[in-house]
Amino acid sequence: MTMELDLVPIWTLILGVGVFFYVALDGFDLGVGMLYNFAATREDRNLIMNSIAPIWDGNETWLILGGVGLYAAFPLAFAIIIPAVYFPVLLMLLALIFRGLAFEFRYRDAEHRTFWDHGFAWGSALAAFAQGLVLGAFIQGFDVDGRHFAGGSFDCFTPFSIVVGLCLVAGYSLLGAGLLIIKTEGELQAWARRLGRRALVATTVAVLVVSIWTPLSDPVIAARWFSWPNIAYLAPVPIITAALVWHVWRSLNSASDFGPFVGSLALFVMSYIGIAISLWPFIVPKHYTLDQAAAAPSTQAFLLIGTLFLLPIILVYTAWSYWVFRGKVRADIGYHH
Amino acid sequence: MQTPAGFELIDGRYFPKSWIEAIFNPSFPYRLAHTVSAFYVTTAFVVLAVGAYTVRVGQAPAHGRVMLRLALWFLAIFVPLQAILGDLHGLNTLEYQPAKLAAMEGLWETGRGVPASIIAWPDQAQERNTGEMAIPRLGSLYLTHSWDGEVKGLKDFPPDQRPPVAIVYFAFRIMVGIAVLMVLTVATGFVLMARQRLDDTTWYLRVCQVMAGAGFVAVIAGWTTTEVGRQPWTIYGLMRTAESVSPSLTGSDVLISLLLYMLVYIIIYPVGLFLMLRLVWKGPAVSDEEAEPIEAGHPKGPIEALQSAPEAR
Repeated sequence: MTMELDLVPIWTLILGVGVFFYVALDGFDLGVGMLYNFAATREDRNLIMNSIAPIWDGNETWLILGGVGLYAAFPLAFAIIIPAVYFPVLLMLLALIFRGLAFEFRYRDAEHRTFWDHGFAWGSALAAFAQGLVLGAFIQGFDVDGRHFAGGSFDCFTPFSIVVGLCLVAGYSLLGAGLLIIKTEGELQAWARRLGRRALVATTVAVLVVSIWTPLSDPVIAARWFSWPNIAYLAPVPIITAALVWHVWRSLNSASDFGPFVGSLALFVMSYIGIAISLWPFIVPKHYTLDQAAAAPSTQAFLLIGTLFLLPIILVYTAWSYWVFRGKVRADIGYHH
Repeated sequence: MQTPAGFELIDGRYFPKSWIEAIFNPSFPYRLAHTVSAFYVTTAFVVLAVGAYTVRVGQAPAHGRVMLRLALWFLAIFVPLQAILGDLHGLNTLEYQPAKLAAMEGLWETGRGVPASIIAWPDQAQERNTGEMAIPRLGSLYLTHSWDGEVKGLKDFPPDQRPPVAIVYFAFRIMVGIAVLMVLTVATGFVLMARQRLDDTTWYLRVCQVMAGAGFVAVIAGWTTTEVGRQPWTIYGLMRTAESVSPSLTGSDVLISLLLYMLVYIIIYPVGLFLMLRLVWKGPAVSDEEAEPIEAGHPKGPIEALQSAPEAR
């Protein structure tokens, strides 16, 4: 190769979009899992589980893409971040095991249905909370010495990361309620709207707390948001977010099937952009930028070939499974694998 | 990482040079074939065991007889094939990971016409085996395919580049021992089949049932052989396991996470095993309800339509 093409922006985009796809897609099915235990009857719980049964495992593909992408394209970041969030990642994986098994065992292991019901709900909640811990620790930054994480394995459990964890639990519940509104009708849908309203209130409060706490604890982030002229350029972010909260509230109270979900998704997009603005261009906050943590150009080029081949396949089968299982779930039709 | 290839080392960091070389590294074909074949054999022994149980208790014996024969014919091909693949894998290990091979054989002294150690206690500190039973010259024959082929002993490697010998030595013997039992089981099956006694020889059917877990134990023993045998290296010959540990990770962190994994597996494995056993105890359904197509053209859900869920009846 005579001319070196800079692949860092491409990999940043792939990782950024991949992680967002994960948050959006697994976010709603973890959310559905958390709401599941609040359903009154077994019939309702069956419908709720069936609403995500065909798609939840495909959604988790994006977690693997995000993890492997970080490992391969930004190895220095992986080497620092993953040891720093060792326990939250471990908790997430163990929680996901219980949650995934619940789909299989709940119906085959009829005597222990309540056990797997709880496994499904608590597994979902713990996975969401653990992801929030990772995000919170990431925003706060890590104790770095040279090319290593220098802190301890429990440093990531801070009041801030715990609040971000709760924030994600609330946000995922909102997405989950949005999905259930799309997938159900009648009484069950009305129930999902009620829970959606509570989740929206909780999410709004949590996002507000995190948005105020972050700049307060970090002068660099505060300067980025509140110095002139940034404050003018960035003002649309909180304004649009506030408008979206209003929109989701209204559509939860209307007859709209898709409004709450689409609005909640847009709320996630805005929060994601907000975090990106705060941290850019660092991938290990305060220590390494995306460029500094990137693998060698030859490595990134190497990986890109495989990724560009696989990504369309993932997108196509994901889209296809959503298309096949579109529409409302009903008690008499399900899916079995 | 066992036989790394297709990379270059620049300033102490590894960079890929060739996908093809990295994937098709020297031990790749043997490792892949030996592992995949092991899974087929493992599964076939489970089928054999379930078939044996079904025939023995007289529950859907027609299904059971088919399972027995299918599994036996399959194993008649795959068990010998697995032995050949294992032998080829061994030749490859001799070439690329001689220290591992020496540990598998419990061989300390380099030599020609080395003995085949049957059983012994390898003593890492004393650099010798105690209470050894061995067959002279046989080792060289199966390791190098020549009566006086040279095989390197552990003493050829500095003590800090030797794997924990006893673990590798015994794990390898467990794997090979199970392979011998497998060959005997299959051979006995064919003798009984030839005499038309396969379906009513109760002791043999019981043996088949016991062999259900044999493949799993062999796979884990083989895995232990290759992974402990490659110590002390993470990237063979290049990066030591001790160097690849995350600096922040303490021993107690690892212990906590291991205990958490164990806790989860202690719940999941018995439940999964019980559910599968229950399927076997119940026997095949008279009519295969699940296969019936329903309205949407999709079969029924994990939340099988409520009426058929056992507790809802």
